[in-house]
Amino acid sequence: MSIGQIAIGRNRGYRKRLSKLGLLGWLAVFVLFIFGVIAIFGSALAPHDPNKIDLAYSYVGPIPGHPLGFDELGRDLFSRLLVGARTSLIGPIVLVISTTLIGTSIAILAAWRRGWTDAGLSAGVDIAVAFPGLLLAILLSTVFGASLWVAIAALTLAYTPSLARLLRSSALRETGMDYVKALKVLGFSDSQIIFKHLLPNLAPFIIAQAIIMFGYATLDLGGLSFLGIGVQPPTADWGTMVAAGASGLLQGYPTQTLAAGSCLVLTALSFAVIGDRLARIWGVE
Amino acid sequence: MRRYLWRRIGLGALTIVATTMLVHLALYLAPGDPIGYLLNGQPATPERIAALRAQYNLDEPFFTRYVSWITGVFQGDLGTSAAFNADVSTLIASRFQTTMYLVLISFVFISVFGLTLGILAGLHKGGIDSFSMATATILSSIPAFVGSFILINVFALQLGWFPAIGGGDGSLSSAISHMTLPAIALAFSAGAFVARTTRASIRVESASEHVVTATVRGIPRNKVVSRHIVRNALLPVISLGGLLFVGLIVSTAFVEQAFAINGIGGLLVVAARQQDFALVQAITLILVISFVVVNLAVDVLYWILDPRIRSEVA
Amino acid sequence: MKKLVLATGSAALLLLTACGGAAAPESSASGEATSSGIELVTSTPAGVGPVDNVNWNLADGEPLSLDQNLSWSGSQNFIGNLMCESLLSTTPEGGLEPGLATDVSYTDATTLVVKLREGVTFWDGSALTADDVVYSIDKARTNEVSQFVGDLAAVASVEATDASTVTIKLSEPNSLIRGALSTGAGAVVSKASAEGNANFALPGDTSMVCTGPYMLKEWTAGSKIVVEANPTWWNKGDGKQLTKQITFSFITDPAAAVAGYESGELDGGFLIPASSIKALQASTVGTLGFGDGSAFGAWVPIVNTERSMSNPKLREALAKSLDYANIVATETAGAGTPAKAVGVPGSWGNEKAAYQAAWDALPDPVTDLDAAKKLVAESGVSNPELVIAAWSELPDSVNAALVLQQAANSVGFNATINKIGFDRAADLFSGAKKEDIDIFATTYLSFICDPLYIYSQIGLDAGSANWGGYSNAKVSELITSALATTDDAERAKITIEIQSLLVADYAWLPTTTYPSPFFMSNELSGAIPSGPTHLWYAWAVNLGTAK
Repeated sequence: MSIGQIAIGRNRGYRKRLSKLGLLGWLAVFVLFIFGVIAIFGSALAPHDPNKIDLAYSYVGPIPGHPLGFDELGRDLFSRLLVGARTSLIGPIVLVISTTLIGTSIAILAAWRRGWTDAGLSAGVDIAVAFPGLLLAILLSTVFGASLWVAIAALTLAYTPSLARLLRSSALRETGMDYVKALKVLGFSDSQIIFKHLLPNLAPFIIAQAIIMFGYATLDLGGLSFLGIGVQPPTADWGTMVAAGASGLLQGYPTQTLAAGSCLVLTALSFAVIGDRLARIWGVE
Repeated sequence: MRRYLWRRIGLGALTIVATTMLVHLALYLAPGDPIGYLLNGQPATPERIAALRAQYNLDEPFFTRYVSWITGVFQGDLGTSAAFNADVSTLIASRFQTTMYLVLISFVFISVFGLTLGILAGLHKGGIDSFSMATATILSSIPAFVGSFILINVFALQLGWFPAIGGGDGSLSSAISHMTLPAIALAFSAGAFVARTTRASIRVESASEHVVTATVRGIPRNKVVSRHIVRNALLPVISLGGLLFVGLIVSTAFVEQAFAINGIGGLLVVAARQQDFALVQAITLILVISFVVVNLAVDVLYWILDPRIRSEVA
Repeated sequence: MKKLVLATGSAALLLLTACGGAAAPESSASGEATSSGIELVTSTPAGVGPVDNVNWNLADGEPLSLDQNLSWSGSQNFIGNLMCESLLSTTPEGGLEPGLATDVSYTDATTLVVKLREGVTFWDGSALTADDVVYSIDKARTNEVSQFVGDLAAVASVEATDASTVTIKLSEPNSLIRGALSTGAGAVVSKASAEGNANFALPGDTSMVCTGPYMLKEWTAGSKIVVEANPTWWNKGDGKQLTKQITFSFITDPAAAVAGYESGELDGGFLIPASSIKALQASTVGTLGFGDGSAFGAWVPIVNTERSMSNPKLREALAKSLDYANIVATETAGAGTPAKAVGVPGSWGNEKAAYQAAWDALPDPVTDLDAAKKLVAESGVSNPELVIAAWSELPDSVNAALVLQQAANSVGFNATINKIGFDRAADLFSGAKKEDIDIFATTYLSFICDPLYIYSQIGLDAGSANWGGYSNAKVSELITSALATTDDAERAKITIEIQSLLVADYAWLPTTTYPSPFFMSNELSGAIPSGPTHLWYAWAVNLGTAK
């Protein structure tokens, strides 16, 4: 399991324009845009039924109309890759959203209440941050059986503490600033200050973290599927495709593993590049 | 120092008890009857079921079960694995050494990758920095389970430089030759992580007051770098190493499967898939103990290396 | 012969053997050319030179025990048969020949007398006695976790008449007991090493003592088992035990195993998963071959419920919806042939001509979707439900279920897949009523070279493989009479009648014969990849260098 995210700085100057993403950054955005389109429209774009079995085509290579050839059951690999995009990206999306929501809530709660709430939450986070996500996922799958949702729940538990810890110190700094005191004196309610001022100010940092996290999430969920404790076959998914094709890789049928593996690596790489660039542009490295 | 150490040890013991109890409770509350998994496909005569229920204390309340388990652990009895029909301690013992070799060799690669890239990027700006960080980013995007297949294909099958499978015969030299490829596959993402941390840490140190003072006082750059920047910058990296350690043991599951190495990580995954509770509990225990011990070692190392902490705890 | 064994990894659930093909000639090839032109073999040419160590992989995972009397898995048998010999042994052609016993014969319908070979010693130097034999057979038939409880159910008592004679009394006539004594049911262990030994033959334990050509040297639980040549083996001869030591590994991951064979770290292996076959066929360092065998793949319908598979018309419809040619191609890499019945040619030991004639007369399994649709329509059930069980842990099992699901749906079934865990194994492989499953796949085989063996298991109400609850009074009656018939020709006649009834009833839906794929380095020769030899006889005894 990859472990979380890195250090924080101040969040000033994040309004600088995104044109600073640079060529590589935009390329990454383009890649993710394409994957996003595929994830949304994949089933419509797929030229063939991704689950249609035709044993006569088992492990047959590319032929016209089937640019990537077929898998062990004679299913069209290209269609499976397209349809697999959705499973492979929905998992990370749910994971990132849930982690961000929970992590942000914990951080703001700790920073806002301070005192015992902060001490308690921080102590819990300090212990939890060291618990490897993969171990957690394995334990949860032992108890509840293997499924994508169990994997997402486990990784949410694993990612949240490190995000919460990072956000807490930013949130602490922010809540200690004069404008917050001023708003309080002016009689604004807590929720108004938090949602109208505090969160928008923390947003660049949260977004940059979420984007970086997305890359890890793709790889980690793919990894769990590879180990058989995430997405379950026959659902098309890039991680399970890497595993299913692994025996073919050394046998002259590398397409499945290489294609699905490349998609995973490209997704993760794109998110990493964008996350890095944004963090730099916004000064929240 | 002694009090500080005792406090850390006490905290460590507490962590072990709390974690194992939590794991135990989770398995206790798991849906479904574990007896099916304990039978593992063998004929289910009433006598056999009764014997298994007794052996695993299945009819006892949670606390009794936990206490009898922990008592067993102190007597060196970790229970019997249903999936392997064998003593858990026997199963783990032979694999533990393998995994430790793998993790330690991987740590060497992580340090070499991570520190080289991180220090280069941290001390230089512009091209070297961008190049090092780009390398780190790419490495961090190659998951071990994809990297393994590439490494096997190129370095074991095509070039024949390393064995393709297995963990060696237990000797250090065979461990090194067998585990170089899996260790590299494992080191990609963690190495990149260390590189980023090192870079950030070096940047912080470079800008710190004592470094600026040293530079102003005319101390040669290379001395400033080695004595003031790198030395201090490595402290947070060491504690990161402690954090990475347990994660790395579990992550060995990815490369163990690809390289057919019999280690703890792969065993844990098999145990989980077959709901082999005794085995899962035992491996978790070992991981938590490793975690506590490594972090204790990191604390001590910190204490030795960092005079500030030494004065704090004294 | 129940194979409940569930591999710990992704590898197959298979366990393969043969009794020699139809008209097996003297040569090693059985002469059954398959549709893809793959030649099935029963043995490989004996090795010629000595080898210090051979690394052999068994892809169905580490054995849970090495006790041949219990026989739980393929890997267990392949290692165990090098160490613990049986009273009789089966030749690659399917006949029985003396083993530790020089003679086993029926003195009347319910009495067998076993004459032990003189001068055989265990590894520890102690002599083989009638007591050891009595102990071993009793262990095989009374241990609740033994696979032979069913095969030896007719045995009422086993007694030592004198130091070298054992008398077996049957409670009812059973013509298959001699055959059973050539399997793990007749494997002899030293009573002194086993009795009261709680760890006997369990992982890590090396206290087991037998008489065979190889001795248990080391068992590192979780990684390897090492056996070494027994210098005092009674059956020593030129060209035997050329291999001084065999180190077994249990790599279940197909990709890792292929990497091992290709890089030379593995010298050979059994139970090669179908997905690795194409790669290994292309290998330049070794040869992938197929051993002939009694194994076959089949779908087992659950017939004792009110659900769809209780209807013979729907069973027939399902049988006609299967794509036999492609199942053969994907599951056996083209080495198998569509199976007309479960008593496949590899399970014939005697009266082969009669069985061959009967086999030829059976209808060929063909895909006929129109006929299948018509049968579904005639069944009176519209869109009949079909719940297919698949082992969630085994990708191959899920794949097979997907294939059946698509076939069934195409002829009008409403098929769904129920993924089950290994905790269901005990329930599935028993006669217990199963209300949430209509059909499941099995790869099964005959331990004994007599088709009556498999037919009695699936045809009798209490048959040990009658997992679908099949019941037919006529079939039961015929099986009982065949079991009481010791004359081979007479028994074959009745068995053929049983076969045609079971085929007509679609009691099981066989899909393909399952030749056993094996891989052996070009440096080596002599492994016996087939026949019960492969399971119950020291398959490596002639293993040595190829040149």
